[in-house]
Amino acid sequence: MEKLLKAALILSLLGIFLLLLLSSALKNTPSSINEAKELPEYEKVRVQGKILTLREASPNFFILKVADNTGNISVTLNSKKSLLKQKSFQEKSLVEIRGKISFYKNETQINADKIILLEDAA
Amino acid sequence: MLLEILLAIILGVILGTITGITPGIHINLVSALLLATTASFILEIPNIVLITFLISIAITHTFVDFIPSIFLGAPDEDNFLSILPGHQMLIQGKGFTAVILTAYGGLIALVLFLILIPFFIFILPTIYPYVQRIMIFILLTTCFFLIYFEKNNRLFAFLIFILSGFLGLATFNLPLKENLLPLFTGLFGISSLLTSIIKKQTLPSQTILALREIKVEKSSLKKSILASIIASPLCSFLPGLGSGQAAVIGSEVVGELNQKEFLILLGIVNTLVTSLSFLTLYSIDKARTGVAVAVGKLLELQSSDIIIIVFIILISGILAFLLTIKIARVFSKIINKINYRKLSLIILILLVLIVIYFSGWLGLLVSLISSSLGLACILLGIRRTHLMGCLLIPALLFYI
Repeated sequence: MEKLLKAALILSLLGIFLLLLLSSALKNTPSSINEAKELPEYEKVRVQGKILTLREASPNFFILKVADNTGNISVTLNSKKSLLKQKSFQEKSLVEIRGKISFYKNETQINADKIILLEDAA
Repeated sequence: MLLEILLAIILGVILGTITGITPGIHINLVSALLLATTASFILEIPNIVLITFLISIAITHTFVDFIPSIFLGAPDEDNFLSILPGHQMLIQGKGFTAVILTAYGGLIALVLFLILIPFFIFILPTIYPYVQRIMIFILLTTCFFLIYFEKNNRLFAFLIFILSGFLGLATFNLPLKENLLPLFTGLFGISSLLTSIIKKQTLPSQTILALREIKVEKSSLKKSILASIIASPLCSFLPGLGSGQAAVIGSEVVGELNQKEFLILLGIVNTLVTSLSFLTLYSIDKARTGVAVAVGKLLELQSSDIIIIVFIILISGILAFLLTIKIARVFSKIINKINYRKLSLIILILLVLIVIYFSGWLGLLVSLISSSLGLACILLGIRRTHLMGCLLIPALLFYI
């Protein structure tokens, strides 16, 4: 049993390290917006693009239109942190969106879990 | 409409029974799959009938899923703790009693649910913003107590907790479908099955008692109920906290619980957390279970819907209780006639196939690594709740 415990612990340590490496390697390849639109609902997605429009549709609920050179997509964000108060998030800011694909009124959109500012609006 | 709702309840109970007795399948996965399929081709069905169907499945699942966790050692993340006292009773030939105790818990949960409705509808919306502000401290305290309550070895508990956290962080950042499935299948399902296979577990014949012979003392009931009242609301507030961890916290607060009391507590918490999640969806717009997320996507809940939901929960719960007794009786009769080691192996292969089907080969890798961590936790002889660092640490980092 002691040998088995040692093996299990070593496999866990090495495996977790491998998964961390894999997650950081696979993270470095965001989808294009066009590719994201082809994904099924609830699929996790990561895209980068410029904010075309940004509005607070209701308190703490934001709707953004984000575009890259392949197309544009609507992004919704339920956030307790007001995006509008963070002046760096403006139209034309380059952002990375992480979230899940959803369909609303026959249109593909992203329900964002996180929006990261990559570059301020020019 | 009433007829359609009743029909949806019956169909939901049947499907919930099937998903419940299928080893390793969590209700969140079932909800996501159902939502995906119903949205695509059953558009003519009114949303209230669809949510009736979903809620009936979920409530039935919370009763029935103790059967595979106790008899087959294949739990999901909400009832993984039942494998410990439940498995001990199974080895003593009391598997049937163990399942019935969790079903009693489920039945008590229905009563507690009715009692807690006013709190969740009228008081929760007022206090929730304050709770959110101190969420990080509540999470930190929860993590501290989970490790502090470990009686065998706190250092190992801390190590397993941290490793689970890293495992969770890595898994959530991988491009995986249904990332909780391989993670929990490995941590709690495959590791338990491997233990049974390694130990060459055999089972004695199971005693099937009449319900009136399965007695629970009033003081035991009181302790379990008090622990569940402490535990269940925690799941409504705290991200990353499943009913299993909440049950541990509840049980530690009220004092040491014996096997029976702990199984009743788990039964209560499992059903109560799912039932309350529909109330939190309505009152604070937070869907804390997969099925509540699905319901929230289908319908913006109004107060009139809550009355229907309460009705659905009660009817499905009572039907599920009766079905659980019948199925547990069948399992008790056949379990010692089959080769338990071979059965564990078959279930293990089934779980691996489920993981590959839903989460792909990357999911299988996650399951393999999670299994080794789960196995290490079992072999170290410490509580398996520490493995929930895989949810608690990512949740903590989200709030920092």
